[in-house]
Amino acid sequence: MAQNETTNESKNTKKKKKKNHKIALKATLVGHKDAVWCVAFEPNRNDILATCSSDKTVKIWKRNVVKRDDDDDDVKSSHQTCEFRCVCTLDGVHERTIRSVSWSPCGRYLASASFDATVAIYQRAEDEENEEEDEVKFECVAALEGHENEVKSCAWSPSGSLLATCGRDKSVWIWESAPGNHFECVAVLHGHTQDVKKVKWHETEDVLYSASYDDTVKTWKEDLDGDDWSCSGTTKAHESTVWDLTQEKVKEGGRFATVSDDGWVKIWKAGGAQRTEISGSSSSSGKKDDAAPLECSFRSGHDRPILCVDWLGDANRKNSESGNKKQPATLAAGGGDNSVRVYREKETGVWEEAAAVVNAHEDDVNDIAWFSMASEKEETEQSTNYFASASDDGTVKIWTFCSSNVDE
Amino acid sequence: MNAGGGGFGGASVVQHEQHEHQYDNANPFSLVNNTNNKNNNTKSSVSVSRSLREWKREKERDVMKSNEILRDPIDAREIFSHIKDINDPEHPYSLEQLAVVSEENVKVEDELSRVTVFFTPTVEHCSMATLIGLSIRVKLMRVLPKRFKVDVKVSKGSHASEAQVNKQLQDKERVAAALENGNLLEKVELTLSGKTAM
Repeated sequence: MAQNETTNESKNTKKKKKKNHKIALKATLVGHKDAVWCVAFEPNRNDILATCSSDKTVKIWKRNVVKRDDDDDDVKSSHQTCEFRCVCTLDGVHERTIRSVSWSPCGRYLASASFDATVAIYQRAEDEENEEEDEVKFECVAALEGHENEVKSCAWSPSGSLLATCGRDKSVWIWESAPGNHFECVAVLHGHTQDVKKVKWHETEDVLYSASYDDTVKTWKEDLDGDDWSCSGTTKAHESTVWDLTQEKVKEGGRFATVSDDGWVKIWKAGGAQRTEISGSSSSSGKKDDAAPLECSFRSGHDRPILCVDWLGDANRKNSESGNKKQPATLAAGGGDNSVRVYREKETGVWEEAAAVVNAHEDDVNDIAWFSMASEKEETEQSTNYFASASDDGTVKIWTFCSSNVDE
Repeated sequence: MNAGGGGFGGASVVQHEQHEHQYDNANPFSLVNNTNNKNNNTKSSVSVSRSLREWKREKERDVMKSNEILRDPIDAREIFSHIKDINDPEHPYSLEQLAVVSEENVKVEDELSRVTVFFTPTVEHCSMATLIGLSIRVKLMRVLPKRFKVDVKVSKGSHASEAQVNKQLQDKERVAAALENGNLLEKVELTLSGKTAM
């Protein structure tokens, strides 16, 4: 397990880099009355996002569209289009903090997981005509009960037929959606020895990963006969709670990154369908070929727990289709030190901090997510990516990460 | 279906009122946060979604900040004064009287807005350690300006499950869940009001 510590290096190069890489605040979304825990973009359109909060509401936000025929001369599209406004507040469903929201791949359903032990499913009203009037309507169509106490994460599978949830009762549940908005529990997975913080699906396959307070990441797969789900790999990924994990968004699914209370970011190798486990040692799964070993790890600039991480996807890379050079692998992370940080891969196994905002929020940064925007004119030597961060300070902030495509 | 206390011992769900945190801007302890200030400047130039009210609030905050430059920074004694009268959950004595907390075991890095409180449970197997830690944390959350990051830990070697207790107290999600648990919060309130919780 080679752990390439790149902290010193990244610190030394930080000053130089900052000329080329820059994070800039674009908008602040104010509306929640308490800590915001999660931010999720509608998968098929990046002008809608959902957030959830300790104020027991889910909010849907929509990006403002600047109409060209507007007679307001002062319209500056690059600023205006980063503006989101709340178009829908879903309340009265949960009795306690809502910890997590997840969109179904089609964007018609939304799931929310709450400390009140339930998961709610909302369906978007079919009425497309309302769209113009900014009325995005959702209706709660199902409540999933089963967890003993706090549900901490929920995630829709890439096929859209399965929903995974996890919580303090140390279990991971898999629900299957059936016609008529019925959800049937198809598996209750035990194995973690402490509360499960996060569930995430493989980018393309029905393979599930769970991160836990017990410092491990587990991989869950459906058996070949399709009857049962079981754990196919356990890795002691960190020295403390694993708060989040994210997968590189490439065809067939790429590498993984995990972040932890211990202040480390770890990158895990991954192959295609045959190699889906995250595994630090080949012995944990028993099948050597299945092991996706640790590629590298680095100490982050966060000096409090790292709470969230998101891998920049190709779809979110602004200039990827305009013939520009492919950007290096890029991660955004946020943590208990109020900062947001962007890391880039210099060469395989060597990561460095490209840019950081030390006091990005007035309190912990709980979640971070990249999204794409295609509206602005830009200088060609620059590429701009967008991300959103959600914080205990009750706000969601929209940022740009600008990087020079010119090699240093 | 039992929505428990975030990992701080099981308890049934009891509805409770949300408690207002008292660390607002009018708090006499709030100080200028230089780093924040810098960031605020960049913020105001680019952020567009903010309402006028928010802008006014920020203005007020700036004025407040300039007034506060003259105030003393927070020190260990001040932190200690906030927590010394918290009652032990099981005994009719304060944490100061039982030597669970002391001024020496409070570490303050005012410039970094960091406070660390080490507490020493009366016995190594004290089952109330997490409750005591939670009470200290809640008290400080309520009285300190929001800029402070508070860590509450058991003193080194003073508890049989030191690592577990510390990890639990450090887990923001568990703390958040615990504070929504009426039963547990009631116990915390009792210790904060100088009564035993049991």
